[in-house]
Amino acid sequence: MPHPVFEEEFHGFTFTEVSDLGRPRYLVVGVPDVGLVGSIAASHLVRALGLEYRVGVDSYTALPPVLVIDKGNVMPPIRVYSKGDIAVLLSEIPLIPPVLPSFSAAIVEYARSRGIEYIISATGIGNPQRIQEEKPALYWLASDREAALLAGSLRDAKIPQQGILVGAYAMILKEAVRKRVHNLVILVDAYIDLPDPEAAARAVEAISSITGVKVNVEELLKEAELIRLRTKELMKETKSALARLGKGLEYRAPVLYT
Amino acid sequence: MSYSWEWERRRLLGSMRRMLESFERALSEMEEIASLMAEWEEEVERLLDSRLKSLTTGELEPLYTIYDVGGEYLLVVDLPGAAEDSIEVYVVEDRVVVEAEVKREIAGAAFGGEFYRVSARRYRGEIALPEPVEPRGVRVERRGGRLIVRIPKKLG
Repeated sequence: MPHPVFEEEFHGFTFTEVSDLGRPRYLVVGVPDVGLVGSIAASHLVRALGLEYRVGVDSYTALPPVLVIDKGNVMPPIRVYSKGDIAVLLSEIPLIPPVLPSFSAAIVEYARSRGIEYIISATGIGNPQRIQEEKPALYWLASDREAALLAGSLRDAKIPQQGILVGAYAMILKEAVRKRVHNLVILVDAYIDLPDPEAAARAVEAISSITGVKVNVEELLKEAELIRLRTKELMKETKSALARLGKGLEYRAPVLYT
Repeated sequence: MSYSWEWERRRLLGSMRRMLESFERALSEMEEIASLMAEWEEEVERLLDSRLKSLTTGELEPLYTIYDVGGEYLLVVDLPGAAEDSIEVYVVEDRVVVEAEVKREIAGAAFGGEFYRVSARRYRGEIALPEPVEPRGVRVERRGGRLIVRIPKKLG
């Protein structure tokens, strides 16, 4: 059973380190959202790169009373894994709207305090065209010039010209802009309310190309059906949280047009 | 002298009013959070009921999504691990019923590690459509474990 070695608090969230995080350059954030793209991608990175459990993130007031059991060890529902240059934050539970501002501020503040250079967020963007796409389309958004330079290696990715982004990733991006933290958001066309491992594989490929860390997605694609069955109930919970979040706003045009 | 006293009194009253206003705002935000939490609890209760039903019957409700594409509805039903030859789709006037057996090896691999026993034997979903449709023109195809059902809308 891992013992805490260090603990600090940001905006009501306690970050309990159970072993040394090291000095990762990148923090990949994967929380339940459209198509569970971020969650599936984060979980695949942890498995494929053999990342180790370093930090448990919890809150007495903002999270439900949940603990996760893995090989007999107990862990909080939000955790950070790391090895070398890469750290991955993943959440087992969807985050409800009132929690998002403090959660996003805590993540950005934690990354800054730990000297992490870039936060990379991976998420899906609900697109009805997804049904026609063999390889889902890729987009990116950056908080600043440094984060935009990071996207230079994504040759077939586009920058969305207009639209509205809602949810945890939108909040983290806004907070990163305010706090001058480099944040790159990778968006992949996905089924909004069906787990989409194929879209997650596309996000993993993008992360691999950005960070230069080789990650094989064959296993992820091979296990796609199994992952969809396993994450079915999380998708249901996430859909209900997304509806309360005003996710529907993403499907209308902004007032200002060019 | 009296002018300065009056000015100070007004300044104090103004800051007290602002404090009360911000307190009131914080209170209404808290009320909003509490009401969202209550709604969320109801939803979680519904999910718990459906999950308990699945655990005892081994029957899973498939996830689905519906797109309105003009003259027809495009229904995507997610059936991961379904045995292809067992899938049955019935379309009646305003709903679609989907049934399928779940392959034992996929269910075992997906839920094998849990300390409770998950029995996932079959899918059964009854999906309400937004309006009456034309069941005779329905086309069904399977793409990577997802069922794509094209359902023409009723004319007139």
